[in-house]
Amino acid sequence: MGKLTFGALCVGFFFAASTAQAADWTIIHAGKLLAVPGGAITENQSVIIKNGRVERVEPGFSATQTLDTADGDEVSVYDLSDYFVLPGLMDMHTHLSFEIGPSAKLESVELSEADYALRAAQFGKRTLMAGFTTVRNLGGGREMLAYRDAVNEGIAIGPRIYAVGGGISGTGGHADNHGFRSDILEVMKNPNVCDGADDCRRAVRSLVRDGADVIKITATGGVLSETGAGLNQQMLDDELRAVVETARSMGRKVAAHAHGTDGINAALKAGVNSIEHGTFLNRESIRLFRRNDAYLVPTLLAPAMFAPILSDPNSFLPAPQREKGLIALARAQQYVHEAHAGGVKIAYGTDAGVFPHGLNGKEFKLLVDWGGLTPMEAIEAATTNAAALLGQENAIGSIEPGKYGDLIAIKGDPLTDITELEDIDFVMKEGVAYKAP
Amino acid sequence: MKFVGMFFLCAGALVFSPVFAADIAIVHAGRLLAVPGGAVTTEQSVIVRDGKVEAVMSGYVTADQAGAAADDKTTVYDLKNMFVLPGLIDGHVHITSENNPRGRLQRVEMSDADYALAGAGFARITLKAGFTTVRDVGARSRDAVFALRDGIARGDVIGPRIYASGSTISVTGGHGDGTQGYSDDIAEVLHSSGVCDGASACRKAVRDQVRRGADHIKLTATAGVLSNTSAGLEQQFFEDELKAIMDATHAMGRKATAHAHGVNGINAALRAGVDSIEHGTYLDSESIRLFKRNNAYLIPTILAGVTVAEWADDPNSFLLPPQRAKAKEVGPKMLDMARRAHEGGVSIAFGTDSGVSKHGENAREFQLLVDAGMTPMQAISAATVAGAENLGKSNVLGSIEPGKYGDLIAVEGDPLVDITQLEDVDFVMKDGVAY
Repeated sequence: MGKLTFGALCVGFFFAASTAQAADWTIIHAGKLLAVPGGAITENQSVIIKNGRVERVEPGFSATQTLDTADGDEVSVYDLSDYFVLPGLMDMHTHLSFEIGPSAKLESVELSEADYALRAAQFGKRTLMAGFTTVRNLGGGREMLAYRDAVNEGIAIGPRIYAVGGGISGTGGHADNHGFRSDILEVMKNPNVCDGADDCRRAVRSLVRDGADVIKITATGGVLSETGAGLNQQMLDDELRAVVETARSMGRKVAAHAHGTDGINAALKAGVNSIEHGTFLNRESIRLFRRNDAYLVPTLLAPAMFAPILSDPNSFLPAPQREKGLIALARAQQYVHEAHAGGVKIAYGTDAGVFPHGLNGKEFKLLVDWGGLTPMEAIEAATTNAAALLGQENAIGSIEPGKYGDLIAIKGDPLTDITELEDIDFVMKEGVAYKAP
Repeated sequence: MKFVGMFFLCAGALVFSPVFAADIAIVHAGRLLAVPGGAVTTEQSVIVRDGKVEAVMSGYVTADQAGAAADDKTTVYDLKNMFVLPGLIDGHVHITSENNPRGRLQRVEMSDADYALAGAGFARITLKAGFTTVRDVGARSRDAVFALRDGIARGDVIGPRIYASGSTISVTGGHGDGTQGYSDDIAEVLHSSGVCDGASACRKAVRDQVRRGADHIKLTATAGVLSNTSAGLEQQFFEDELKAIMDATHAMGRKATAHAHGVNGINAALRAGVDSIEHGTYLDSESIRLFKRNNAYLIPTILAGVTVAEWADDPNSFLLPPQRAKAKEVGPKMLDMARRAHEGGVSIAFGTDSGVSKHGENAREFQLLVDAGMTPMQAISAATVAGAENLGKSNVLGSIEPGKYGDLIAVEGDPLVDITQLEDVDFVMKDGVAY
């Protein structure tokens, strides 16, 4: 009774606030439902979502009247009885505030943090519309923390974001700035550059202080840094250990960009949670992946999309980038297969931004064709595996009670034709439909 | 007698007498226009001793006749089939850069050393095109243009004699600022010592250029075409700032030249006493009166107008929207402007804005000046005697006369008949050295 009285008080004095207590209900009538990837497909199911969270999944197409609604509650019903419904997709490797192109380098000295934040808003929206309701953003700077918060507060539309707020690298390493004159580089100074274990502790702690959800390091050289510094280990063992220890002490996981074998294995030995790219992984790497329960995030779409540009001498890419790209491209069709066959867990990631945002769904076919995954395994990589990599398996990754109401729908059957996931018809995040047929 | 005494002392003590041997160049010129505006003479010899013209003699003289001593290093150039004239002077170049699609990026990529080396390449091309002297009117680099000027003078690299202004004097956000469109922290680094607001700051900006080694001062009195800002083409400096610039410039013994398109800026700059106007697109009869009153030169840079108009018409060119709009506006007007000025009796000096157009194509301006109503002889004078006077260097440049630098060029045909002969120069000598 006391509670009721309080409620009545609220209505009397704070009328506007009381509407917040009314619940938003959503009923999805799913013709086919893959509620938990890896599990069974069921037919003619209803997903009931209350205030953004899955309340229950039940057989048949439930009517509004079956809900335990109160006065003022809103109910939306979506008829997806002709559709295949599955959990919202997750891309574990995006660069939402950036998109490569001939003018990207110039933009890095023209655009302010505010400009980049607005870019992210556009690219983020495009990513959500492609069916990706969650991303782990492994690039950009502090602007991504602002965009993440804006999405969470409902100011901006976009996927749920786990952001790094900047990649950690040694001076001149892959995540540092390159190709500008030295006084300009001084101004562009990447605050996440660290040299030596102590400095790397500082870099991790600063990022966490500023709001990073995850820590990203560039353990090796990379393709798209404008420097002929190869693809091998760049951060040294004590620095890698310092990053991982510090991240753990602050409750953060570590994602390591790594191409060269030495860097992959050094990062795994230091205890990172995922290897991004992983181009030159070997048998020892596979052993370390399994020992550590670490994930491989292959990002095959990056080399696939870059293939035509890499061999074009007139492309906007400087020579060192083209050379490194060709080296990485040569391994792209084998190494995921090796890892997968060796029992390495794979999480879905694309490197979107290195190619236009919104094409994230094209990685599925590459995981199947080049990586040897079954369509179901590829979908798991983008749902349950990704959720586990984020440490969010109780909140996302499947359509189960208590989890976020993130789901997508397509006409066809992605288990028969995985490219169905390249064109998503229905997108819902936290019970709100952003795209409907 | 004292000199002779020293000579023997040196020779005796150091056995170093070759130091006193001269480098002598004897140029046998079939036809010679020694002083543009004057007569063309035939079968002449130009004697250049240690880089300076010693004499112009009739007939093809021998080393002996030229007064060369036995240990002098004498070189004879047979240009009997050629038309010889003074080395050309371009009064408006940007020698350390050249417009290209990556220009905005290069501004944050290139160090001073990069600019100096790029400038060395452009300087070589310019010299080979027959331009033995250039006036650089604004280098986006910091010290590179001075280093290049001095390096050429020392003989480190090959190029024309350079007179350099250093950084352009401009208002904040004005045509010579150059930081438009970059993010604030980057613009801070790109900040130019030539940017000033208010009379006091403008005095300092001028003095700073002179301290850095400027031979003259360049200011942007009005907005311009290729700055990335839609700030029109009108006056940017106020009268008190213009006066401060001119006072400080003249007090430091320098001349100042004003980039100006809009008529208000042209006339305000002339009233403030500038020594020349660059471009001058919208000059009017009042401007012409002021030019003549001040004895000021106009450097029309018609080639720049033609170049930017071509870019503006090409939808795929790298011009940014504000640049394109201004280029469309200004480019086609420049030929008519030069014609009006010439008809009105304004003194014209040759200048191309090379760096906007390609370095080495400087001589294309000659035909444009002729199109604007000048005779070939007047156009040649603009690039020689007038060019020298514009620089305040008539005592050493602009004609082939005793005491002046041994700068001369030669072409096969007769440029007084076909001015485009100067677009392909066959022989280039600077300071008595053939390049």
